[in-house]
Amino acid sequence: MSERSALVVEDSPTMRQLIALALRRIPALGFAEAANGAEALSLLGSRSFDVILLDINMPVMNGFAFLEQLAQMKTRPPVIIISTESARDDIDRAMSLGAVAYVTKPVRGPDLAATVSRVLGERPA
Amino acid sequence: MGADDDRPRVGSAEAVLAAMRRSVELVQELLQTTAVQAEHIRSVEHELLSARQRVAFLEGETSQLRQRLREGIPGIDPQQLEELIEEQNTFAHLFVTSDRLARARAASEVVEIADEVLANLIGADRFAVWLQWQGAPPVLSAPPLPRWRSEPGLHKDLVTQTLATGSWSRPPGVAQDAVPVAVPILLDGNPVGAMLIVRLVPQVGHLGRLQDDLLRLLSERVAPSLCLTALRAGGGAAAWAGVRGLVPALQEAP
Repeated sequence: MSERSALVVEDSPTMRQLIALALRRIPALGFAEAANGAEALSLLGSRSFDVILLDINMPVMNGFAFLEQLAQMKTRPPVIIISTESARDDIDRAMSLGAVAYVTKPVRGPDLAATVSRVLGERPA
Repeated sequence: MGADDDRPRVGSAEAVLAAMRRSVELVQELLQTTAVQAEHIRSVEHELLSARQRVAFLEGETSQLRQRLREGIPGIDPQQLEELIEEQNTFAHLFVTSDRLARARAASEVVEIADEVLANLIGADRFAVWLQWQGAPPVLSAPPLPRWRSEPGLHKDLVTQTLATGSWSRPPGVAQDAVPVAVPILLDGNPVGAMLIVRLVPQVGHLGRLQDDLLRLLSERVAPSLCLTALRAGGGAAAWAGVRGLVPALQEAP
């Protein structure tokens, strides 16, 4: 199976570690980390990703601003939002900006792995 | 009999005819209404049939999924599997929190980790972390994002009570799984701080087992991690020299 890659955009190192633990369930999935939207855009300039896991509340560049920038790019990986925000307006805004799924924190590892697998078109291990 | 004599009879017949016509119209209207209602009933019956078929399909799918779950892990029913997933998820959260606290190299990092765990893993929407060093007035550590910060002075009585007693404090009448709550930060069983949760995010609602376990971990591990960072602040070699002096040597050289 070819190696796929996920980009985790999240300012909390604790959350990044928890997400990494959940993504280990998915075979042949490598991942990179960014602490905010600006770092993520920089990474996207040098390599491609199969899926992006994106927080909303982040310093420097938040998730909404990142989605707006991502919309200008030629190739756009599918984006899964992971956020504490559960208001209908936030979900609608994220989906209208191109996100394909919305997961609210606190996340359950198996549920997150299932969502990422679904977006990648596979079943988790 | 003259025409004048027939006039009332003609009028009466016309009235009867008019009444009959009206009756016929009413019957026609009734028939039309009945036809429309019959059409509605057929439509509703069709929808009902579709819904029944959909329910049957979903029931079949659910049954198949349950069967696959049973086949996937023999002897474990879906409820048990759900509990196992929940437990595994809790352990993952506890492991990550414990690992992060153990790796912290500065006191500020320990407090940041506590903030991250409270906001992202526990689901605290408004909270504050207080630290109190050896009788000095408690120091408030503000969460990184303003939206998470509890208002200054809010539930001061709960924080004061927890700092004095070292136990969890809630206002009278608040349920054991509800907020606001003040949770002690303990060092060797003595309170050296408190975490105040004023509100939870809507999707969490109450303090479940995951939240309870994480709060107990923070309660016990934050202060020792702070002490460890103080030891590390002098450099790894200094910390190791201190440990070396405390561990009785069984053998000087291997």
